[in-house]
Amino acid sequence: MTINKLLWRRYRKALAVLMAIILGSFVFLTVSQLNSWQQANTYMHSQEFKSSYPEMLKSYETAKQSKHNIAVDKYVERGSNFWLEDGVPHSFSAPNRIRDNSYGQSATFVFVSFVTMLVITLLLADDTAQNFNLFLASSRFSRAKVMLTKIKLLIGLPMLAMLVGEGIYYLITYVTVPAKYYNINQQGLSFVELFTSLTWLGAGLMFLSLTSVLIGKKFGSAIMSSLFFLSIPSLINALTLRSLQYDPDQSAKAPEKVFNWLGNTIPGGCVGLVIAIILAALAIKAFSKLSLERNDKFVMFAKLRWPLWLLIVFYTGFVFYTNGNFGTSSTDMFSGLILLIIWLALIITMYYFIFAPQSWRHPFKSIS
Amino acid sequence: MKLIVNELKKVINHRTIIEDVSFTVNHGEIVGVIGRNGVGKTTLFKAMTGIYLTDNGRVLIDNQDLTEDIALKQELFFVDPLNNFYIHYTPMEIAKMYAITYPKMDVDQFLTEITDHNLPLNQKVKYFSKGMQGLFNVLLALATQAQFVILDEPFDGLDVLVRENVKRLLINAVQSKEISLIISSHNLAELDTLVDRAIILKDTKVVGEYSLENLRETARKIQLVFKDGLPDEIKQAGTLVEARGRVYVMIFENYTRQLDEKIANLAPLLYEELPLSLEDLFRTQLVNENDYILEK
Repeated sequence: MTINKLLWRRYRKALAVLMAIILGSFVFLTVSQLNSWQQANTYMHSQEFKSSYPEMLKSYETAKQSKHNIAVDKYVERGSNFWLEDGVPHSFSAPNRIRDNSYGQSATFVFVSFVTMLVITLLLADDTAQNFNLFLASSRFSRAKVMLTKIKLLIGLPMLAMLVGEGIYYLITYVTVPAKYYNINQQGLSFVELFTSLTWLGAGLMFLSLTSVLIGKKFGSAIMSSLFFLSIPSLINALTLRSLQYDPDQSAKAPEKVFNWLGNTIPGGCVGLVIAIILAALAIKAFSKLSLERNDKFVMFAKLRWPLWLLIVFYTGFVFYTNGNFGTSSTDMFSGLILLIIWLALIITMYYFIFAPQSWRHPFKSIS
Repeated sequence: MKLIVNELKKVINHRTIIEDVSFTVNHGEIVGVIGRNGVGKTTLFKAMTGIYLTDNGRVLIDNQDLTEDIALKQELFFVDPLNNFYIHYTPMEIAKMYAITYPKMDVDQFLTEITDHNLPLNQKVKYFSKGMQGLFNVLLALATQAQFVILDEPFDGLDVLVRENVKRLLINAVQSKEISLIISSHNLAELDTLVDRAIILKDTKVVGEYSLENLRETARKIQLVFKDGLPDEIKQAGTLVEARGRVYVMIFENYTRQLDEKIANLAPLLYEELPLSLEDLFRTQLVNENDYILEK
């Protein structure tokens, strides 16, 4: 399709670099982990292990068939504990060797997600700043198709690269680590975790697509999105604290439970997927309805200025109020006062950005 | 092919910028859009091309609404010279991108034209001089082979040689390819020798549409001297564009035989017909007396 070609031409350099970073990160992770695993697990190559392994496997199978309570770390089912954290000595790793390769894999995913979000934000913001959207709007391609293609290229390709990267990681590990020492266990290759990670990353990227249509200033959308993402833990904290405010014991664990449910379960991942789809549809719809006369303004839809500002006022007010400590002691009152000042500064700053009142600008102009 | 702009309306920040704007551009025609600064010429072009969503009205090519048959937009070219993404690219890259958007574009021919006009192929357009950018814009517009090419201030910032060059390119394109041009310019002297028809925008609306050929037949610019000053009945019949002592320069849009006789009966001390230009038309239609220093 020609719109694919056009947008590929626009983004290809940045996308190629981004995908190289993603794939390179996973390849680097794979190579370095395999290397360190090989060096660390000398026990697996030892004669002791080789001689005891068949016997231990046999006893494991027997225990398993007789449905006895099996201590997994004493046995091996198809290999070693490549992804396990070996805080306690495992049968097939060197005693007291701490290993948690799945942590490295998660960290890499977080790193490439962050880089992807940064690059996508800048690319989308550049489309506005450089008036590329004006060109697209005047072209023979429908706006819905343009936005859909942007999403496909800018979000689909990096996510595909991540999926390929994960595939490379697990495939090379599978091929390289001797099969009899190898165990794809839940902690290492968690398809649920991978699914939820990708859906929530997708939702985050769709949110960036939507803000790029709503916010016209180059770093405006980046700052707004970052602040929103940073506020999510506080929001969940606020929501769970509100709902469980009469039960202090539960409320302490509630946010963590919610996070775990969203990030580690299939329904939680599905929530992310649904949110991603809704945000994508909103971004496509918004771009179709965007008249570009406010292309360089902070809020590109004039009618959204008041709703956006009010949303910010109530959202930040709710999060600040529920997360803050508004007690009667002097310390609490002081921290509450600080929080109130921060909140007021935030909503006044946002008012300035959103409405850009000329009367407030005048003194600055005079100075200049 | 015919381009029809039908009752276009655009409101920005609760202010109506253009309203009830209707006109037609025929095959192989050059139409000038004239209006004072801020009257909404660029807004009109952006509304026509879909950059701005309109509050009312339609743009049709061959009676097909552009919003319904969006593929027809390949027959319509417009770039805002002040706000253009392509300055961040080289002509080579731009050619490849525009060739996707305008399938009829001849990339090789475009690159040859670029070279022939001594424009660098592998330098980003933002490093071009203003004149080079203006020339580049016109070359790109013509290379797209769009039937309707909209040029917003194409002579702005061009030196006299480049300006002549651009005019020649435009006239050649209209003659050889029978494309239609819609041009806005402050340089009315340039437009005067270029356009077939002038559309005048004032106070959000089209206040006049003139075929220059017909206008020259019906309108007159006359320098008059009367013994006792300019008679009111003459003043009301036309537009006074200049007064120097007892010397008055008037433009009569519809110079009839009766008016000629009336002037003759008032026995002017001097009656001299001056060449009528587009600028004169601009003055009669768009300039208030308050804006113009009549007493020199």
